[in-house]
Amino acid sequence: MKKWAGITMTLALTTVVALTGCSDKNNSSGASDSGAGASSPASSPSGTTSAKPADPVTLRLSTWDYSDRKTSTDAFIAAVKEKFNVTIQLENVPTDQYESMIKAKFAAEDGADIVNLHSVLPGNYENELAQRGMFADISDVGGLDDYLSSAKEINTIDGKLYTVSISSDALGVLYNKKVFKDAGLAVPTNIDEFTAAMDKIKAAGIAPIAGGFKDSWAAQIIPFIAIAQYMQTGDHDIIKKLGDGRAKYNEPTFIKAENVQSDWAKKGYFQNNFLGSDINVASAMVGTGKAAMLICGTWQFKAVQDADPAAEIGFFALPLNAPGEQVTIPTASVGGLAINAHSKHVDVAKKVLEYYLSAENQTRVIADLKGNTTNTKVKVEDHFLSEVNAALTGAGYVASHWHGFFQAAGIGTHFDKGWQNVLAGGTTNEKLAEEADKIVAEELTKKK
Amino acid sequence: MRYHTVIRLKWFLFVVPALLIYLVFFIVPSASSAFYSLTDWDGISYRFVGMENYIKMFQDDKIALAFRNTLFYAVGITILQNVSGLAMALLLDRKGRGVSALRMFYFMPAVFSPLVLGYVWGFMLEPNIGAVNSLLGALHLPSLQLDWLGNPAYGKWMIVLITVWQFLGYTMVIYLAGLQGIPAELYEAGDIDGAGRLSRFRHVTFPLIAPSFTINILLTTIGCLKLFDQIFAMTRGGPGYATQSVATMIYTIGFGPGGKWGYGTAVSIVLFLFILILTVFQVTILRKREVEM
Amino acid sequence: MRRSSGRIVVQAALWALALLHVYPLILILFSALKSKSELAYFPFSPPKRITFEHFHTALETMSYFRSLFNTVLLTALSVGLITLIASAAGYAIARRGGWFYNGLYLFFLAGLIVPFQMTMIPLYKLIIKLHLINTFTGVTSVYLSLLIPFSLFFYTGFVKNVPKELEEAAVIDGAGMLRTFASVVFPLLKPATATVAVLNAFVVWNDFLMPLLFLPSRGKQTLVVQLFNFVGQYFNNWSPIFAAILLIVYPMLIVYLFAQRFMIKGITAGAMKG
Repeated sequence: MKKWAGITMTLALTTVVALTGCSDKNNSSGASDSGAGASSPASSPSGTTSAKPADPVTLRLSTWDYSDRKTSTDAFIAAVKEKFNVTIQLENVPTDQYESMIKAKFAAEDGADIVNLHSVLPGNYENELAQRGMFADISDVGGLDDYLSSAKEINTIDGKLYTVSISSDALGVLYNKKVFKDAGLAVPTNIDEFTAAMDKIKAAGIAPIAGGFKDSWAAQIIPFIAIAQYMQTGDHDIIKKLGDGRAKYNEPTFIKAENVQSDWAKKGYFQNNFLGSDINVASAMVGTGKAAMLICGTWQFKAVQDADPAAEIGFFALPLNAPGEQVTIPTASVGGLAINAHSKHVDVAKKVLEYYLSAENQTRVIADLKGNTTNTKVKVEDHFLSEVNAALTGAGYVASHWHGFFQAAGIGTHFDKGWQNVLAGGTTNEKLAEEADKIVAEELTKKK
Repeated sequence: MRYHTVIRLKWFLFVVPALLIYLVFFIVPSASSAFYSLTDWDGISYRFVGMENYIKMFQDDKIALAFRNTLFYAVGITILQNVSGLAMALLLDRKGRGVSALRMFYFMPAVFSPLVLGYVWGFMLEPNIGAVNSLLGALHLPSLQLDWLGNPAYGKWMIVLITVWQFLGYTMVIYLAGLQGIPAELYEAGDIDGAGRLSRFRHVTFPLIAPSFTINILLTTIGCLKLFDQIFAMTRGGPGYATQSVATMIYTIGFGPGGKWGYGTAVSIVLFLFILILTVFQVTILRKREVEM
Repeated sequence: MRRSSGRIVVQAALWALALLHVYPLILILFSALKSKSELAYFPFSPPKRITFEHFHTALETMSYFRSLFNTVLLTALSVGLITLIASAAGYAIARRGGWFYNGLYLFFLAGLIVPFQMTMIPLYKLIIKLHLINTFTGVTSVYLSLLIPFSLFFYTGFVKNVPKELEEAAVIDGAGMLRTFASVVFPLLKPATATVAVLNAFVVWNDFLMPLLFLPSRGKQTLVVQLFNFVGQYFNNWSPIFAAILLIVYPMLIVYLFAQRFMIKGITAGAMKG
């Protein structure tokens, strides 16, 4: 009997609450973020940057990386509330589902006001959305001159700027300095020195490279670096050519690049059971000295250092170059925020974006990201980053825009799982290259 | 005449709420997915492509692998879960103070979210720093420190074993209900005839729990054919595509980078037909068996 | 007696097996109470020193009380409503029979077979069109549509076991159909309702995909969705994850403990005649 009373009461209560409280879209009330957030009809102030607008505004912001950037994001939200009386309603979606969520939301005309994007390079879904006018042109936002032109170029289509990439990460080797010191090794500068170093470390009983290949994306890094070294050095536009069919994947240089990782796997340069370890474990292994090197992007630094705050972690470019040649370093641009063209508060969003891009905010963001800021006014004092910069300055060629690698849709997933599959023995590098050409051909016939 | 019509309408009203919700939120979307399967929709734009998706599917060996894996999971999990569930039910079909507690322990994993437990197991089975291999190391059994999830051969078995672990309590409870429905007289009759334990089981118990058996087999099979959460959390279908089920494959196709929703929907329709055929087949066989019992 | 010593061995074995069975769950508890470094070095043993720091972190990051409220609301709504509509429908189907109602029954059961991926995207677009996105009404409707097949299956079987005489008596006394159902039949369905309610509660409480899709704003997120705040793209913060898991599951454990008794009774009659 008690059970029934309980259930009926709960039912009644909840029905009442539900019917009265919950049917407006922008209901923002969260314990930790918005406090007194109320959504008001669009009375957005005109573009002066002076006083606080009188009416509070709520802006929805979609992102995937709240967990990686908690500190700076929280500070940003607080500052925006204080300066502009704008409440940011954060919608954090896990990485895997992010692309689908954004597409679904925009398809249903329910996109957030501000959206975190990777970039609008061709081949990405963001590009298609931008071309359909889903994002606002932000060329008139203040403070853009502080940014490197490369951060803006890759995000410009037909003269319209859609987002600004706020940092770029280099792909290379994060290494545990103690392991190298104990083995008496100096930073290798070409492939022979690198291979010798790996052999020496292996002989000392430590895994030379930590492979976090349970995460399929981690299996792409070494191939990307190899592609940069073997292919982009000689032809800076090779990526574009692969994307529009002028060049083919299925040819010896590409396959040579693919083979670097699989050969190293066969020779035992990765730790045991590397298919069962994800990137976190691999990072922790390097941090604690169980492995010597992690070949990844500089964004992974935090995870490595956290495993042992006392460890000294350094960076050098992966020297796939032959002795006498110069090394090429690929970089990846971290995305930036874009504004939904159909938002009811485009003007307010632009002011918020301006603040986001300001040196004050970016200093905090970079502290979380550990990338190379593209904002020329932000100064970062960090010895890891200085090593990264030194490597970049010392390189022969810095190939940019890793995310632009996949020009054809579907190539992304193909290689993402594909290279992992090669390591698992499920397919071969040659087959992957063959299939890639087929996928590109299909995409191109579709586009006609 | 009018009176009967009124009565008929009144009875129908009982069904209306469920029917309305089911139609609007379930049938209508399912039907429109049939339309999307004939396009190359990627979430942003689409073109009508007719049966192209279906044809591609049959040439795609990754999908064939996913179907094979799914069958493996369905057969493996159904058999293991029902055998162990029945065994536990038989052992715990008794009175006594501890029995409730024991039954609770066996059921407990089912109270958790399969996704969450999948992540936890993924963490424990991590080959280099996970609890399982650490324990094996401490017990001086390094040869047993396998790559439980990263090695394709083991990965599939781990998915089967862990799913069984989580849900055998469910199966057990359904069998217990069936066992408790068997009148004691039938056992006594068997005892008088001098039947031994095994014989008693074969001739009295097993036939009479036929309904429980049917339900369990059906539910586990259907559930396994749609298996998603555990695989997603433990291996993401990897390494490569080695442990993909059809459901995770649809997810990868649709929700991975460059999402091909049109194609993914086509695969899900094929999965639906697959499950439908298998289910009808099973029901026919199992019902026949029940009748004969 | 000869039998009792054998019994003790069996009992002991059962208990040992049971403990082994739940050990992974116990491990979650241990891990949540250990410091991060102890977890890294001794992942499988009881904590040497207990710390509650991870529970604090989890509570904060998850906006725990808000999320708990959302989850309770969603679960209560969905479970409450499903018992009403499924029992009503089950009653009609079980009592009326005939080709129409039996056909309807199969129609509903077909829902068990459909994989969710098939309906997901069109359903999402529909919810947006109906302006039900980010509302509890919307999510609840989706849950109702998904839970109907199994719940209906259960209730239909159960109702068939309820003797018709009681209803006939009520009709003779002048009760209308609704009255008969509400005051005579429904109370008799208690064990079935308890079972259906508890099993559905587990599903809704633990579900991740629906709230993610249909209740995206942070203020409305449910507990399991909040768990993803700890799973970054590059970095998993395991210790608070373990604490969070416990914080999410304990209400359901309590529900289970209370409902245990009813469940077996419920399944006995309900599922057997399905």
